[in-house]
Amino acid sequence: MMVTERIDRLMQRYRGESYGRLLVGIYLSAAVVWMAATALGYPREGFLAFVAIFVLGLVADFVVRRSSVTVYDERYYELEKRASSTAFNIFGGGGFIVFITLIAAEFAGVYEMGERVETLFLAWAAFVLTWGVAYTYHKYRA
Amino acid sequence: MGSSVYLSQIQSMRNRLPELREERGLSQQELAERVEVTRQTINAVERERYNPSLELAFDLADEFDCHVEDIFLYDAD
Repeated sequence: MMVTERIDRLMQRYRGESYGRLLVGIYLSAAVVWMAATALGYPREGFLAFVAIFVLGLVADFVVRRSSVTVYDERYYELEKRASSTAFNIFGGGGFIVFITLIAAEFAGVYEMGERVETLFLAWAAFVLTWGVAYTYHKYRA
Repeated sequence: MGSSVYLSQIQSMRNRLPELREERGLSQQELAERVEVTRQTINAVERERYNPSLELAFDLADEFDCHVEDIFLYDAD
């Protein structure tokens, strides 16, 4: 029996949702370890631990996706689309209201945009532009 | 607006999946494995909180040896 078949048989002992939870746990623990290490005064070690745990998560994700255990299915991708849409609406729509208000206030002479806010504005504009380019690409590709 | 359209689509679909599954003595996990989705997806379809893709609908119909419209019922009202 090939190694991949052995791994697959071993993985079939547990349900897909168990592996899903495991992967979420790995990625979350990477972030928690980094934050905890930074708070304890070890930012460099925390960052290295974050990278190591994150890479471990990517490897586990790769193995799970190649196995016959179903962890990701069409509902997962549907939820992912809805989550992306919600996030875009929050940052895209929220950013529009905030920055248009700030720019209007600047033109009215009651506010002056600082360097940090200007950087945030450019990042937001790039984000929305990227969405537009991606949307156009998918529209004409579909 | 997007989510309200999605909700109205969900609300207009009914299905007989729990009934058909139980008639055959299958658990949600067993059915999920047969059609290669997660148990949560079968659960969400049964609770009418998720409309499956055409591919999954046909796979389910194939599994129960019936037509898609024998499982899924569209209620426009």
